[in-house]
Amino acid sequence: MKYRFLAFIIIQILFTFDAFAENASISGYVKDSSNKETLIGATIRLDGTSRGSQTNKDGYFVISNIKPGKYDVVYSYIGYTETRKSINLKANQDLRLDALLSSGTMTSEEISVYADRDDDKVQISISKVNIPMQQIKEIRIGGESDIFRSLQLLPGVLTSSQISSGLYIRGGSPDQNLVLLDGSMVYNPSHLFGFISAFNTDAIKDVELIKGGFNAEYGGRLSSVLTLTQKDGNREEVEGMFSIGAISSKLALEGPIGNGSWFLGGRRTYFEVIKSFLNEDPLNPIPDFAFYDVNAKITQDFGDNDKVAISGFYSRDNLDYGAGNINFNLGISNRLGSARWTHIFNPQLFSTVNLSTSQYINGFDADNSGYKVLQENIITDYTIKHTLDWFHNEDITTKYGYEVNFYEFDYLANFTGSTESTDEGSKPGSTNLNFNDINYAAFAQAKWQVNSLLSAQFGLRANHFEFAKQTAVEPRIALKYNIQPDVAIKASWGIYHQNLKLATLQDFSFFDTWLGTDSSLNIGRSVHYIMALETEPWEGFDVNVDVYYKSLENINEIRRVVLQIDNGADVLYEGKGEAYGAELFIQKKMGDFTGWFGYGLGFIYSQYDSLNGGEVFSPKFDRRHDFKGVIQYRIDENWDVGANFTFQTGQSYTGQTSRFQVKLEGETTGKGKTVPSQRYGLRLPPSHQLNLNGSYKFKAFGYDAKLLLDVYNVYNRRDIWFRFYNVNEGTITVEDFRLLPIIPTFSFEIKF
Amino acid sequence: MKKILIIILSVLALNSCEDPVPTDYIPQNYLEAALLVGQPIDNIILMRSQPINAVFDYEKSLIRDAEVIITGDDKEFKLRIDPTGNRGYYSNEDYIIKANTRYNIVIRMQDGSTITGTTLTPDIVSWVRDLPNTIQYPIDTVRKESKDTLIWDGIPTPIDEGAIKSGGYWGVSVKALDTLEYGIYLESVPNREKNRRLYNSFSSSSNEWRYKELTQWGALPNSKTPIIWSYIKWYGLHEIAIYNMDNNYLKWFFQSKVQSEFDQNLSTVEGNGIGVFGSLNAIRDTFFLVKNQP
Repeated sequence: MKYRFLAFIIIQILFTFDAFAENASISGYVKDSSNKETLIGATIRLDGTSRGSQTNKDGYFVISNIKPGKYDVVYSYIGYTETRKSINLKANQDLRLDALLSSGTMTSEEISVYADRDDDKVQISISKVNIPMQQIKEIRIGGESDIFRSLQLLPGVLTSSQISSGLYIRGGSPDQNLVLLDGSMVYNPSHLFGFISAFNTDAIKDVELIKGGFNAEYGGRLSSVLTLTQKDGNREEVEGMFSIGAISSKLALEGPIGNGSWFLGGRRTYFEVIKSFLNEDPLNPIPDFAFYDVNAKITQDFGDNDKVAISGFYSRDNLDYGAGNINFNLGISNRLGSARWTHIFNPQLFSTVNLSTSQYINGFDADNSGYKVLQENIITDYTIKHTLDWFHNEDITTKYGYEVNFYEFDYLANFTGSTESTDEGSKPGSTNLNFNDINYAAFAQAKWQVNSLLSAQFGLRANHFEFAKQTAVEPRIALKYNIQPDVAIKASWGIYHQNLKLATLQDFSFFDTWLGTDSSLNIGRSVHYIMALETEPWEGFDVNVDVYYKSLENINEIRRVVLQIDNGADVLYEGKGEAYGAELFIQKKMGDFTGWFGYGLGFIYSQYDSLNGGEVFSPKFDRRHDFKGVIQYRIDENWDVGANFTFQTGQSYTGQTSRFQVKLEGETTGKGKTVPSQRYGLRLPPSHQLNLNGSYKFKAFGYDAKLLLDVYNVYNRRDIWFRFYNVNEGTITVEDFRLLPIIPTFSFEIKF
Repeated sequence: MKKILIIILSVLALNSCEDPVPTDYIPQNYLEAALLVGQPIDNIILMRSQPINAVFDYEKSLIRDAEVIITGDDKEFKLRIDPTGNRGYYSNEDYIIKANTRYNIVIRMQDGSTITGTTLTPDIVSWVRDLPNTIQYPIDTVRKESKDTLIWDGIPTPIDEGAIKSGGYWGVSVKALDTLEYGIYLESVPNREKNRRLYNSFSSSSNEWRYKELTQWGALPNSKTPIIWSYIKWYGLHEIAIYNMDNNYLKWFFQSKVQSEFDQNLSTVEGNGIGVFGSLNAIRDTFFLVKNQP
């Protein structure tokens, strides 16, 4: 009944399309004047009115239903000089008004994190955060700027440890985050087994995180959405940038081509070069480790109304080790490709078609004295997504679309000692499973400005999961009420489903395996309830307070002992959970000092019939208090300094109440064993860390160059990664595996 | 000054969220009982777990005053405790455990509580190819495959218990019978050098259980394997055993090997205790591992 009511409301809204037929509109793209790169999230407003808009992911905007007359159109974007254009609109005129904005010197006073209230003109956004890439590049940790580590400095975004780039958002595990790179799903967005994220910051131009309550356009995940947009490239001239750092070196090249641009960027580690200078003991060799990634994109305009972008991403991590009679190799890679066609049917109707494919491969093989084992899992998806943005009038915008995902799952494991061939199916010691799944989704949403104070957004997403033979309907509602001009209250409610399951260990993401939901498992389901207060109590300060509750059903944890896999339930336990909490976020955008302060209070609970005796427990990533602070200070034209600080309640671990000795038949000493108490019932000491960064700009060989100095873990706080009970000796000892000490690093980059 | 005090107090308050490492002791009754087909009922170990922060004392941990009864094959065996503790509980009846037979155990503790379990003894296993008397360790210790292969025959016991499912795994154990005198007992003594350990990339401190342990255990999904050198820690004489394990013992194998924390899902007894009541059917042989270098 409630779905019918929602549908009725949406239809009623759509029938009010043409109520303002005499009026005009302006639309267009907003771009950087130096390289013609489109700007995402630029604000466009009609000076002296309350009318305005913001550019979308393609840099496009539209303001419709404007009364004929003279206006000053003001374009602004963080880090760019404000631009004005005077226009004289006639009745029924659809004026194309592209704009080029000049970037000022890249000043820290103008870059900041911001919650996009202006974006609410197109859709009500709640719990959404954009971090400009300039800001992300300044927040370096261990000499490496990193998108995920910057996001971890936001309240409500937790980590499993300081060396993990996994995002635990409002009680959700990393697999519950939809990570999209140019529309392609990324399944394992990390390098170094989770130490840093897979995305090269030089190749990305926009990052947007929705921590919950995301709209009907997105689906397939329970917790959050992270969208990343790759750079189009410089449309004016060929340019490049090279940087050398402690972990990796990077090279980016870009330039014009035809009626568009290209971009090519890559980075790689050089540990093997360092290793070649070391004396190795052949019996105790140092493992070979390397990663690299490549981003590429080509963009072409076909007239004023059509644009095509083709992009790709490839990443690879490799670990080799051989000692004694044992050799093993571990390889992880992501391969993504996407083609995006944007078409402007008319100023009010904007279409995007995205064809994408993504493949994640995780492979392991080992040889012990001729006994060979291997494990490989591959997930490949082919996706088509088509959306239509319809800017009906000042009060109503709608969005429609459909999405089809075709998935291929391949899982191969052979522990029989001979890995030359593995029969299809599952039998003792070997598994060779290949299956496909198709997910269909259609969505529609309408945003309605009810009056000057109240706006509402209704969305509906319908999914059909072919393999699970289940259909899921997801109504979503968001409301915004301005109790004062600068104080808005927002509320959001929505239902979310997730078909894909990730079998992973929380401490190490070595053998991550993605599975579809089959008949042995249930589709994951969550319901989000969010309320937010957004205000600007002092000039230049934005304050957001979010309160949330999220229920989680059919979530999973991996079984520790898996001998044979016939279905998903052989690999995963199924349980439920809930998360609730509050977040305070205060940011300062302008001035020499910029930055933010965030505090999150969170409670997370899980319950599995087969774990912890069926009793409720807080998962390992539950952290009660979460304090974050980021500050950047621009000393002068050349010098920038910054600091970031985190303080979190210690992570949970499982205590032990007694011990005994296990002996298998024929064993002479056996080994120690401990009896656990409440699962994750104890807490480690609080985790805190201060990192400093500084940069100095200068000219090198006539080119712009930058010297970067970073100090990781300034006061050498060796937080505990994990605590374990060492049962290997007669006396059991409680030992802590500690994280990295203070690490100063220098990096250098040059732009040519 | 007040602000500084507030900051200090706030930090202290947050620091207080840490839980100290607990030393609470909650004793747990623990049963380790395996019936070996072809052998008498013996070595049924009943323990009480000990405090985490105490040195493990085998003698102190033994529970000697329980009533332990095994039934099966239309018989009932009331077990007695070995006063030295070495054998645990055993039956003094002249009875040999049979294959493919169900046995049950009931343990009555002094407080009146019980521990129960049941096992179906596994089928036989036999060698297909006899093991060679001597096996040569590779001359080059780095990255060398073994040339000898073990093959045996039988039907491993399948398991389908929700959490663990398989068509069957074999247990394999290799026990060093000579850790000091390298083949001195042979008619033709290879040399007079003291025995020493093989290189093992996972060798650990001499204080560790696994360093001292003479027997290496593994589980294999098929009945053919090369000699895996990491199963062997010394040169010289060894006993190798292949086990057909019942479901309970297979679970117990993983209980022992997978992690140091007890996993209730791998326990196979009911009542006021944890542990295993399982069974095995074994074949054994010996071989002499020849040093790679003089």
